[in-house]
Amino acid sequence: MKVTIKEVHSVFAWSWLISNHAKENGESKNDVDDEEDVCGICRASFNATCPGCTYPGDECPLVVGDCNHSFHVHCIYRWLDTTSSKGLCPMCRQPFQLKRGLAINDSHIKKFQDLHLRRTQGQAQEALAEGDEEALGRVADQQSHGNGIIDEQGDVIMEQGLVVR
Amino acid sequence: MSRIVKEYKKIKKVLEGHGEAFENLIVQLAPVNEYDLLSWKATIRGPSDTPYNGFSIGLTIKIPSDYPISPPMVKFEPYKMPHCNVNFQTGEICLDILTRQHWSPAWDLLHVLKAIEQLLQEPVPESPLNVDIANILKEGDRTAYTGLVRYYFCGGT
Ligand SMILES: [Zn+2]
Ligand SMILES: [Zn+2]
Ligand SMILES: [Zn+2]
Repeated sequence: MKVTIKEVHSVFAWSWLISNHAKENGESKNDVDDEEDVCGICRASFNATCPGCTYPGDECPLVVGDCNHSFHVHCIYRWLDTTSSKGLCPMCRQPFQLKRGLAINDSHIKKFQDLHLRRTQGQAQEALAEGDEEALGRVADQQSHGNGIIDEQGDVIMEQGLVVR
Repeated sequence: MSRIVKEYKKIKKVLEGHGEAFENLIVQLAPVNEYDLLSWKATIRGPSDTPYNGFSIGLTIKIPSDYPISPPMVKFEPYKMPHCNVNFQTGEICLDILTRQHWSPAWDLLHVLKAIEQLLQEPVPESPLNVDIANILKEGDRTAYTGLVRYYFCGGT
């Protein structure tokens, strides 16, 4: 018998390569619903999209925090963009920062820095308006974990000496 | 698929008996209408080591459109729940995890019901919404506390 190949259709499967740190740290998996890894905010699989997106993959990427908790970038951004988030990871309540040196985080670092800056500025202005020295100190403290500091006027001084109002 | 749809699936599974942790607590937890997952009803059992033991207590849950970024709005039924941290007229609950300041989108409705169970077990008379009950608790009179709660349940006002 002779077989002639007329056409080849390639089919690929893909999935996000998620760091296993969280599991190594002995974090127990939520026993009931997840046979696979899900986003802690929307509970959808990392290999699916957040509720706002249609196509998984580049349209709805993942980010990994310093604390090793991963989320759809849209989900964690939406949360961190609220004042009530106080910039904390929903899972472990530590200040959420993107883990450095991870390829999947690289393209989002600027956006998250801007967000962090916006939030701390907002807090500083609020504290300033209320004359709340203690809160201002706290904000300045938080800010110094980011990449700028806040002076007494509530302006944010970036590492480069750039002043952001 | 929205988060509340995911939760609904999980809740159905849990209530079908895969989650023993909730068996003693939840009688019912379901949307009022299958086609509107923003409005829920729950019934919980009063915890055994409390004056609520033996009573079923109703709750209403409203899911905000930006859930789980914002917390669910959970209340007891009006004029039903005698508890020092519950407004008797409105059913409003004073519970930190239900406030924007303390809520985390990592939590879900099952967490919330667990937290409410804990509030029934450990009332906080220092921040009361029902002064009568708070005062009795502060005096440390368990018998009077149980008596008053039961009096309310049996139709007293
Ligand atoms: Zn998500
Ligand atoms: Zn998305
Ligand atoms: Zn975390």
